[in-house]
Amino acid sequence: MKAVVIGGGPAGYVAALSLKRLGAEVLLIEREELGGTCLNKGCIPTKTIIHSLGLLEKIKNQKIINEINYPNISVDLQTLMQKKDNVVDTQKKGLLMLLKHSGVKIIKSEAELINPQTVFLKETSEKIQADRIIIATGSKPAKLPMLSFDGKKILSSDDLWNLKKIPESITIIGAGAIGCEFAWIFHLLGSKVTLIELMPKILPMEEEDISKEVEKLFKKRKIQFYTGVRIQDLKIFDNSVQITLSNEKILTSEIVLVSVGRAFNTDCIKTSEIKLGNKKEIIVNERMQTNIENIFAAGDVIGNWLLAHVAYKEGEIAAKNAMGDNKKMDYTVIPSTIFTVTEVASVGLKEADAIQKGFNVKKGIFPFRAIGKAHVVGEIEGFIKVIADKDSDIIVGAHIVGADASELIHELAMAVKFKIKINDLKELIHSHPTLSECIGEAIKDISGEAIHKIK
Amino acid sequence: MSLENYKFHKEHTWVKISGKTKKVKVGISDYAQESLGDIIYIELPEIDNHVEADTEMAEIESTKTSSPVIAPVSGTIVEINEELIDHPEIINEDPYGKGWIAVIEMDNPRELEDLMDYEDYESYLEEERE
Repeated sequence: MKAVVIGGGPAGYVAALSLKRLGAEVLLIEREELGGTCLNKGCIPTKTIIHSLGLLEKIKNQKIINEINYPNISVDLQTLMQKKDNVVDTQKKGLLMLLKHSGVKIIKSEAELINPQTVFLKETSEKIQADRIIIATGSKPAKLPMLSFDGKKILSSDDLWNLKKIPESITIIGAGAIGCEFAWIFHLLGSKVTLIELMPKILPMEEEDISKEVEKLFKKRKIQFYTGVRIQDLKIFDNSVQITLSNEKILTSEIVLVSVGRAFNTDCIKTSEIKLGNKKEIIVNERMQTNIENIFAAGDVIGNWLLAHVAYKEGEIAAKNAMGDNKKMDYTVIPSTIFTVTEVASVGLKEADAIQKGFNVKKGIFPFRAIGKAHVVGEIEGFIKVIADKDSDIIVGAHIVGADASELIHELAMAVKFKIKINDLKELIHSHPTLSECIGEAIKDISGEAIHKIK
Repeated sequence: MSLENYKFHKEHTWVKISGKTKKVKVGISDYAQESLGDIIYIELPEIDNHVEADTEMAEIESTKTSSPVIAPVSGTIVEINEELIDHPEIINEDPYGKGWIAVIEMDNPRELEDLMDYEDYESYLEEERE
């Protein structure tokens, strides 16, 4: 069996490794860098930078530094970028080794699918025949209808990596995960940040209370934001960009970041036989199969969750099914995380969705500030909210805003995924002093039994 | 400090009446700041917003907990204490003076009759403690 995978990001490389493990002869084609957006321009670089800048911020907040001796501890952009590059390079070398050792053949080239059995390599003008093809070409920053990226003042999240100096001010259009993460990064770098969002709240996809808390965290840090606003007018001058909002507010900044979503990389599909959706995403069934039997697709390009860990799973499922298995992708329990002022993580249903689905909703809420470890680490903001169904005595959703939310969410994801009874969950002892204690208390709060909750 | 012109709401907020004007300063009581502990943030109401008596008009965060500030009277917010944005700890230091939160222009001054004077508030606190 000969298989070709187009795209070496999270979906593509996992698909390639899985195919190989199942005995296929595998060719992985990548036009840019292995690891895709996630490793080169997304998850890994942004988190490296947020972690480094966040560390500095935390040290300052600990109030243990003699500010007279160290008045000007600050970040050097070049050194920061060097650190980011080192992390990315290490990961990339590891990935390359993993693929080579497993026997996946890697080709660096632009590829086109010219018919359901043939991939055309642009570099060498070679035509490759394959029994199975997995398309994992990913996504790129979407632009606003009337506003193209110019790489100088109107930037995409990809363009930001080319900045040579920290801008004095930045307006960020779109307060989703990417917009909020960059708002925090530029705030920590010392830029004046203004965030604008069309929807009535920032992080529009998150639980109501979580968005509200993040808005508060932004307000506390004087990160300006406007929600429920449209752009009425945008003027580009030599040294600035001026945006007029629908509420008549005029914003002037050195640069603008447009983070309004992602567009799908399907230009490489040169045959009209494969079905695409309205946004040019590839349509697949729950087995990750396109309308053409031997062609599968996975990751961002199918326009679904746009998360690397979902892409991993989709890549694996696409590979298994390409090799004759019959696996289905289950999207019901997917943890997701955002790294902003403090971390945000969620899994399962939001409260409003749970009510709408007819669950007998009971919730438990517990603030981090009520547990010792939060004070030890100096991060007392935020809370954990769990959404439970009283009738079945299980948790159907969980939402965290606070320190280490991205790690903490998995205990709750396990509870949601395996439908563990709340009555049993309550009995789990959490080690002290840890932030995980907050999970135990939030679960107990469902029945009003949280020990450390001030009434 | 004389609290003669102050009236108290059972949710531990106060209004300070000065003369016959419908504009009153509001804040939280000494008992409230004491129970909250070190105050680290206050989400102030917005000027021109209307608030209803007995409902949340602001939110205070301390190192221990976060708690709503309940409006003692209904009316329009005409002034806020901007000092508190950078120095919320002023509420701990001087809850009846510099730690005022906002000025409300009352819809109906008769609502003041529902509030307690300081002596009544003190005995109310005694009862609460029991």
